[in-house]
Amino acid sequence: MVTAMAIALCQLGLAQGSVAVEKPLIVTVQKTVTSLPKVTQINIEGLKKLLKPNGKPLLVNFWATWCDPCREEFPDLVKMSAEFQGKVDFITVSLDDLADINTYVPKFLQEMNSNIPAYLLHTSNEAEQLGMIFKDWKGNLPLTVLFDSRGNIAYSRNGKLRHEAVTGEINKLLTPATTVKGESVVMRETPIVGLRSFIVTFDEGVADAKRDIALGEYKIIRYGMTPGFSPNEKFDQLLKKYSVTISDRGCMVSQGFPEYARGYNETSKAAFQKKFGKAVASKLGFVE
Amino acid sequence: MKHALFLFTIFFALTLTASAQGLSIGATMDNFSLPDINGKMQTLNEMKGKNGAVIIFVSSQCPVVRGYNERMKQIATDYKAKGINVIGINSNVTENGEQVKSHAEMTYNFPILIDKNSVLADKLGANSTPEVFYVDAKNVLLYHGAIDNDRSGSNITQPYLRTAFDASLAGKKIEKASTVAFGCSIKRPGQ
Repeated sequence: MVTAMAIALCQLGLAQGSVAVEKPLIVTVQKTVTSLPKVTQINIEGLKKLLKPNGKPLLVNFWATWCDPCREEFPDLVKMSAEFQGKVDFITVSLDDLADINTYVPKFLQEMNSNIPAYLLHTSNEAEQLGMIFKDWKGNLPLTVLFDSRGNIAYSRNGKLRHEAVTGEINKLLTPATTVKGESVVMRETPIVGLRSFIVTFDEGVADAKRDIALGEYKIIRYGMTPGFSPNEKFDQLLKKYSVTISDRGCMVSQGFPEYARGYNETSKAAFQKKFGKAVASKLGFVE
Repeated sequence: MKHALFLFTIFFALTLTASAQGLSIGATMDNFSLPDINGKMQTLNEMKGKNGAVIIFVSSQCPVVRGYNERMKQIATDYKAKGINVIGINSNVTENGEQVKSHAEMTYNFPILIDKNSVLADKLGANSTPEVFYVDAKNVLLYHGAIDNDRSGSNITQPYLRTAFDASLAGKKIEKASTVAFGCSIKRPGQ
């Protein structure tokens, strides 16, 4: 189903328009006398900083006090944050009016017994700006996005979340890859269709590749085509033999992502060639 | 075998695409028939103006819609004179008929139709309130999305819907034909 939808929706997505760059703003709101949960005001640049990978999966929930499904799902959110404490980071981002940052928002969080780090996004045209980060967002709340430990979107849900579905996705991220009969595993990371990676740069691609190589992982990032596509079995066998992973990002990628992928792939291919030699690298198409 | 599977997957995906709901820019909206707040059946073709109509999904409870009420009323007044009629649609299963009726009578200067079971919302692919679909005299979808870029109304720099109207009325291309409509979810049955 996911692969089928990937084909149907296959197009290269580019961010629309441009957004004036703001300095990251994270304003700390002082606690009230009644010790309501702290809600931190952020702008869109502040949000982007929060979404940077931190070595652990991250679940972000966008909500508002006026949104009924948001309020209904909140107990499940609080429950999951406790279940996965220490393994997954959780944050909530309210889209309430700024005037409610000291009143309705923390009051609701208090009623929910939530100690999930709470933020309130205050920005002009949140629809357009959030829509540039989460290209498949339909504009309504709630929106829940699960990032893996490298900052890639692993799952998203636009609408009331389902506890079982989300915990299932989280558990997938937390379960390490296993080997079969002592052989290396060929991993194909197939993203949820239509999601795109967070906006990244060439230098970040280089840094991520170096990190992965240091962990003994050789990965090539691929996008703009059907996830899971393989030219032939021989190619697959070579991938398996040398433990190379193809990371398919599908058809829809963010602005800047091609540069990120270029930085990543150039670094990864160079390291692979250095280790295994030009002849082997050539067979896998790693030599330009 | 892999090749055959690949081709099958493409065929399957295309079939899925064909049956998926939602209306694209440039596609023609089918004429629809829904009851108004007094129970009288109304159709798109009867309600549209000589230059088309804008369908706005609304809610009697959503604070985002509340923030847009005055703007929607002004748009209805300004563009009725230019042949574009506003039609409100309530597709929320959580809002009962009496509630929608009394709210509409007090609030709006344009008709509100009741989309029971969110059938029209599903057909058009509407998700939020407010969310607009602007069609021309031949029911071709010209603009879909938000009314403007600031729900508070105090800092509007892009009045998307008005801009779309003006461009279309002047025979010009609508530069921004699709935007993200931020608001409350449409409350559908079973959700």
